[in-house]
Amino acid sequence: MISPSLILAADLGLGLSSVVMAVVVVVVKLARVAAQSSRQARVAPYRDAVLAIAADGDEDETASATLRGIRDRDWRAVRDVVVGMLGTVRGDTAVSLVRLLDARGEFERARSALRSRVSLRRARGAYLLGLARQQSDVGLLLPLLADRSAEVRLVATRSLGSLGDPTAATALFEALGPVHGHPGIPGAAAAEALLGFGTGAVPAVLAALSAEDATQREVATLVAAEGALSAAAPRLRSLLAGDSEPEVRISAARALGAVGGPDDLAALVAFTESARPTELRRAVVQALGELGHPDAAPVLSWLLSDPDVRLAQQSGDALVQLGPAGVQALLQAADGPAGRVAAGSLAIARLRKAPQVASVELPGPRGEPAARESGRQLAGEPGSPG
Amino acid sequence: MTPEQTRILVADDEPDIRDLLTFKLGQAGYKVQAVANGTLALAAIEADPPDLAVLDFMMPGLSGIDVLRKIREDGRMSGVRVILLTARARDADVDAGFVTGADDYIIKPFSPRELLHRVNTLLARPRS
Repeated sequence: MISPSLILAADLGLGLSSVVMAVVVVVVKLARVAAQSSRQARVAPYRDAVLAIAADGDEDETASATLRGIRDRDWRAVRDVVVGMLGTVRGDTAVSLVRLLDARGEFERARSALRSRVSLRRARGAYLLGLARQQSDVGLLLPLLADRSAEVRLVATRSLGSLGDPTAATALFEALGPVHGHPGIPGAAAAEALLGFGTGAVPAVLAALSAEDATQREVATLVAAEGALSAAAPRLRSLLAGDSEPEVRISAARALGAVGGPDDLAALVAFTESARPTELRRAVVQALGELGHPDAAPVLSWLLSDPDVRLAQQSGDALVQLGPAGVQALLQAADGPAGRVAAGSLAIARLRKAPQVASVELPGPRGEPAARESGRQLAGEPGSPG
Repeated sequence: MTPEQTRILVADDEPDIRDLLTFKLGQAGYKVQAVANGTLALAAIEADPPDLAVLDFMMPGLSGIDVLRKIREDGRMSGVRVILLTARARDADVDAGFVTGADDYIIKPFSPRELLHRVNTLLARPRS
């Protein structure tokens, strides 16, 4: 049996430790507030000078001269504000802020920080070099794509995107796969950076569509779609037709919707068959809407009755995207078995203020005489697709 | 109307951007009121509609587009010109901004000089 004195001692111990924890939390919070206040106080005399540069570019360099000459202790507080501003402005004002940071030696320190053992310093250094946008720093940032810290790899990816040098495109694709046992860089961040490279990255993107690594192929399809890279269409057709990875086929379907043409209609329609994987069918329906070719209307109307409710709704949205032919198909379907889906798509399009339905008289609730009459007058109702 | 008679509301949750916009627009002579979120922005617009509002797209609570939607639905405020300021550069976001009734859409990082030109141009147009 546990003695009462032992229970009392345990209670006291717990109570005391709770008090100590509470005191520590309060002290840490107070210290943070004090540090913040101290930082703000150090920044306050120079805030207008920073704003003058960020707002106007400081053509006469008065504000820049002031900030170049302030004590290091004050500068460390002001620097964070300058870096924050630099992330939000572009044009002459950004150039002036970069000059100021350069004059204060921040970029040299950032280059040195890339070799630091502390990952936060490496990440910070990479971030600053991205803001500096000096192409000569590309070579310093590339090794960080294989850094042991995921955060550093991500920041390096984004900074390379900011620098906009397409010679880094191939390295970015290669960094998508595992490097030295670390996961690769995130695909979305890589795609964003690659898009920032512009047309100079096209050869690397086309090559990556045929890469052995599936992640490279998938990211390349994303970039092809977002970058409207029509030269990628032939390879995208092959990926849709026969890639070993379902995700790549889905991504290729979406990309074909963005960069394909009328010739792709038949190939895409073939993948709407019910035997195909659900996600692939949905991606193809979206692609048909993106393509916007009126010849897709019959198959999309058919799919309004699909047992996959989401696919049926996506077919309705895709029909709206087709324009008059698709809207007419929806109006025809509004009084048939897929009436609820068709009417829903039209109503949502109206709520979204889609121009395709701006002048269309929407059908009333299902079963309303006008809607029934409209349905009779127009073409036949869709049956249930296989 | 001269800049001195023109009131602009700036709503952004980032203090640096709020200060920057206030500084730039104030320097041009406009009367600027700055608030830190969408709820305060809507309250300020409801209380006394400004000539123009520069709204950050993404703010805690009510977003810029939420505020825009509300002011476009309310006849007393619907004449306020609105510029959406945002890091969201995707076509769908830009479309959503204009469809909801934005008069202009500026993507961060932005040029403060260009922003001022757009403000001047927008204010020179008659209210719709």
